[in-house]
Amino acid sequence: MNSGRWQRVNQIFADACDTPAPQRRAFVLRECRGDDELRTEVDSLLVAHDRAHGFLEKPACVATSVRADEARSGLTSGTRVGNFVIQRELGSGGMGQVYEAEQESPRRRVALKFVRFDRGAADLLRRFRDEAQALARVQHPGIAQVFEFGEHATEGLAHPYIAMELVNGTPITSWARERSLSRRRRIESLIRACIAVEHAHQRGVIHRDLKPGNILVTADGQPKVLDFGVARLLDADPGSATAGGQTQPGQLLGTPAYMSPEQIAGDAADVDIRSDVYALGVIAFELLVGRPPLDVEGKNLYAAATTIRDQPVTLTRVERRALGRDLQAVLLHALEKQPARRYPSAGALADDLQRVLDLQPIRARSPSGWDSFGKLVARNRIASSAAVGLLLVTAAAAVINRQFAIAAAQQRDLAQAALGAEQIARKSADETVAFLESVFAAASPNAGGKEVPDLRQLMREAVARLPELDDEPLVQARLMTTLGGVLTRLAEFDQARDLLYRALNQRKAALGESHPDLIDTVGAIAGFHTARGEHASAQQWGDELARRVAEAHGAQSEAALDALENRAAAYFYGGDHTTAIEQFTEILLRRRALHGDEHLEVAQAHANLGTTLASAGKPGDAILHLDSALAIRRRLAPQNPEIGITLQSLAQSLHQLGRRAEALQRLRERVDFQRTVVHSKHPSLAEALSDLATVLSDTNPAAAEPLLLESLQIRRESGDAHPALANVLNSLAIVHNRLGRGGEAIVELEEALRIHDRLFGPTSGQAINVSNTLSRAYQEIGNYERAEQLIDRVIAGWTTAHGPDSWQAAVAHQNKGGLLLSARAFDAADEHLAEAERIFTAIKAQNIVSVRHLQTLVADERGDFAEAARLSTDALALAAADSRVTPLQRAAMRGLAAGARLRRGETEFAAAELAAATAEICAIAGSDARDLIRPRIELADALSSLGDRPAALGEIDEALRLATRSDPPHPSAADARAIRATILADMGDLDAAVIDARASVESLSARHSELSWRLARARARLAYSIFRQSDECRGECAVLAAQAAPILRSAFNPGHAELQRLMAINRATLRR
Amino acid sequence: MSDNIQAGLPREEPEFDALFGAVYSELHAVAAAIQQRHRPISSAQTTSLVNDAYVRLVDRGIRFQDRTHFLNVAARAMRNALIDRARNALAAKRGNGATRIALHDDIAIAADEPDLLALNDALLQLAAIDPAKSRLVELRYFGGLSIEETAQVMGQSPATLKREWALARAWLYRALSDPDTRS
Repeated sequence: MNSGRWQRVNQIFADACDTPAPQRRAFVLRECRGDDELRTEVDSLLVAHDRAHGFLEKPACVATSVRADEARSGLTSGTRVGNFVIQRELGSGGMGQVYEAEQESPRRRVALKFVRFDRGAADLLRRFRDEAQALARVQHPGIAQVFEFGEHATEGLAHPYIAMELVNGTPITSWARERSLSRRRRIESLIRACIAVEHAHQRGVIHRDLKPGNILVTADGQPKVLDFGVARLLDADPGSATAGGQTQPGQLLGTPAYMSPEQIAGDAADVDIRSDVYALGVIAFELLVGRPPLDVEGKNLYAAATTIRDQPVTLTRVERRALGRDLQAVLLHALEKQPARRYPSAGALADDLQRVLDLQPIRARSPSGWDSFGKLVARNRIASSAAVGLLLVTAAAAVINRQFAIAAAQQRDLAQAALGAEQIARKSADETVAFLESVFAAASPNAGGKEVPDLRQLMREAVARLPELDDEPLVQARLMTTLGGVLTRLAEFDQARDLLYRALNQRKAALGESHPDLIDTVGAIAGFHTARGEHASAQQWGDELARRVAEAHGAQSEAALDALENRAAAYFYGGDHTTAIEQFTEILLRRRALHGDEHLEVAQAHANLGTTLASAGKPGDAILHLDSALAIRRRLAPQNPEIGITLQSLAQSLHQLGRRAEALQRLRERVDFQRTVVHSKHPSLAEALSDLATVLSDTNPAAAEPLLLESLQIRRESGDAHPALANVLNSLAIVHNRLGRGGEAIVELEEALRIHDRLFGPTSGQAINVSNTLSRAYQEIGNYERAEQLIDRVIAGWTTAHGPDSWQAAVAHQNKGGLLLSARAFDAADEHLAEAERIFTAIKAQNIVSVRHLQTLVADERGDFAEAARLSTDALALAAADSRVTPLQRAAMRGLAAGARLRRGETEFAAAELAAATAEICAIAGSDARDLIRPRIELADALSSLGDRPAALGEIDEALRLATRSDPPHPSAADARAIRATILADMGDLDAAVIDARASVESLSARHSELSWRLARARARLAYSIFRQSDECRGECAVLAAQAAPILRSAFNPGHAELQRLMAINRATLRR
Repeated sequence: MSDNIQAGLPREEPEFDALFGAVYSELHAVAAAIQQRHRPISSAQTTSLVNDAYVRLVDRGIRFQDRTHFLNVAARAMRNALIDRARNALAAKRGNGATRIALHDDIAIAADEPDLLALNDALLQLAAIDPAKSRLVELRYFGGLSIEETAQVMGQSPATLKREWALARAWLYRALSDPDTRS
């Protein structure tokens, strides 16, 4: 069929489908008038269309799995198998089928389990029979009884089967969930299951495939363990490559979630009863915590094995509090990676569970400090990533690279948001759990058949259902505390605030002012204020939290130490580093007294102190503590997530000290760590990538870009309106800015700004921060109007939020000074820079260096070269004393200072300095860095004055290459042309010189005022080029020279090369 | 295995081929995992498995231009993975080198139970007439994409795509029911 005809078929078919069925036939007849072949084609397709309902609707992998199932079913209802009559199929798996059957004598219903033996090997059958007989001797009310073993012969093959007790029950986890059982009831059923397993163990039978689907709870509440020893029987068949028996309907074959590390490693010799203990531990964890201990869902077998073998089981702070110390200890002891460190038997596990119920001391106490592990992770994350943010803020503000500051402030905000959730202390009563579970269950895919809803939606649902608990104000208050914490993390602040304060009032009304249950809510409120950046409130609530905890648990208790940590963190976020350092130092001493040196709690204390020291501008001291933290953690818990965070803090301190290579090394270690240890979609990987990219972007923005894109991808997949997404967009914008792709940067920043405006409001710190960066981006592309709008919003926002004499207000003024400099409004720029200097001096902040740098630039642009030289010398001295100024920034300042000296006439000195600065920048940032443009232009000018024209030409060509790579070109491109014009003129290439000089004058006169010395210089050089070309100066040449002369004379010293050229023209003209 | 991968399928640009091997082995594992699950799974779950595969690939340092690029590669890989499984299953049943079994001779083939190998053949013939429709089926049926996702990948409106899908499906249904009417 030719393509025109096929198009026609397409058209008629589509139209026919849109036509109501009764008219369709007539429609097709009309359309295909006279063309029978066409009509037949369309008709037959329409017939197929009507019949194809459902055809290909399910994706292939789904459809064919259903088909594979059906193909496998063998025995039909009524088939006789030995003493049994098949009733129906219960399920089937790779290993065989399970049927419900009726036994004639004794009359009972049984489960018949067929095992597939394609090869009919006699010795395998014999082994199978022996094992089955051993199983038949295990009799216990908690174990599904094996009745007999038989063989069913069909088509000349013997199909072995086992007949066992048919259990009508529900898997233990769903059973507990459906009935919203209390924790006590859950523990009681676990104990019964453990005792049953212990019974079989004592008879030498290992289960090897314990999972909720194999522990069914019957109507009378008795847990029954199914399929004892069946996994082993199936393993006896060498043809079955996958471990684990598949016997219950609805279960995934070979699900690795319940396999012990030694089991999944595939070493059969290592598997003993302690593997069953591990599986019981996983089930207990699911029952009591509500999630699997390790996330292996959806992982391939290799990844699952790695996780089970290497990843430690961790509990969040919330889960820890909910469980209590004893239950945590029991669960983690059962889940030890090494069999030798686990409970030696299921009975021992049952005993400890019973002790928890009886409030007796338990036996499981591990020396590894795991009981405080989850808490450590949570705390560490907060302190370290926040500190990183602060570090970057101070480092960045020290210099002119404002974008950096914004990225940092963003990180701090994010860290605070994370704090909200993790700092929240709360217990969860069974009722609370039940309520939340009912919310989740209603939303689960099994119940509604819909997609899994997002967390926000669940929270809305839960909040909407709160009135159901009006009769139980205490349960309601607990739940509101929980929800308030989650909503804080989701940045739903209005609702979070409402719930938390209601919870507090309700608890106070019911329990009195000083009841220990108030602690949870107070902690959540402190976390809320921290997340909002309301530091004064956060400190106040942090103090109250510490006071209440000390009252409830004693001042020396671990809980009191925890509360002290929270309080110290609040001071930390509030910027009071001195107090925070005092408090963290004391906590470190107390932790060491309590645990000795080699302990994870001590590592944590080191980490907290280290990050605080780093923020306080003491990176050297910080590194000592961070190194200690890292060393302890790597020895005690090499796979723990907190290692990634310590690496991060360490990198930041190293970076501050200018130990860039080491910093990058640590950041790369962290990315590798996150990739191998944590799930690959995990936000912490995104964070690690972003951090590495942030440091790389300083010198190698092109290498940073793919890292940020990967990070962006992770963030986008986890939802579109999260602050973290805005943060990545922000970092990406910085990179694009540095790559001279300001247009992309603006698009990214506008999206980030929209996210912040929506999440936090237009006057929020986050929105203001992005406005600041965005202002800079507009400044870069020369849209000064929009840039000024945004920067005014920043000044207003920061002045309101932090006060007119705050560090932030000063930074805002400094930034506006920089903007006005670009817009060449020098007086206004000086005003704002003076205001910034006044504030920095008043608050004794070490940020004068960046102000001085900008002031140098203003003086230089004004043509006040003496002032520029003075200011730049001062700036260099300040920079030398400030460890936060990066080498790149120092080199750029050196170049600027040399430029001022060059214009003062100190040509040789300037040339040497400029060559050195250029070499430094090249070494740090590579030969494509935009920072090279200005120093290379100045160097070319100096070299040309010194007569080294070929070298001068090389420099200026390179500068022009860099300056014209971006769109729009770098503003200095026009300057570069003026310089090149003179070099070319002196080398005799006069036509090219005139072209360059003319382009320069045109470009500068569009942007600069008549008073600009740069414009005057370009005019003078154009005049010089024309003069050299025609050997006289009249008309245009004379006009240009006359325009330039007064301005250049007032700016440059007598005898300067610029003036000498003018004089040469004048002399020659006069001579004529 | 590489023979199987390319058997009978149109080749695309070289980069596509280079990525293909890696994606194929990952998705082969996904397909195997799904088929061992004896419980129907939703398309959302399939998508999430495919997404997981994507993440694993990216983890191993394999880079795609974007998600669209990945989905294109993935759908092709999934098609091959399933076809290979079907071929192997057939070979196992018949002994190696067996000839193809006859197609359904009655018109009422079960709706969600197409013979994958026959479908694959039909799809190749459809590709000869209308490559875009073949690709559409590949994305929808083998890649497990929704109409909206497919529309995004193919750069068409969902409404247009629905009409295209209806025709592609009818054409294949007819081809599988009655091999003689294939044009």
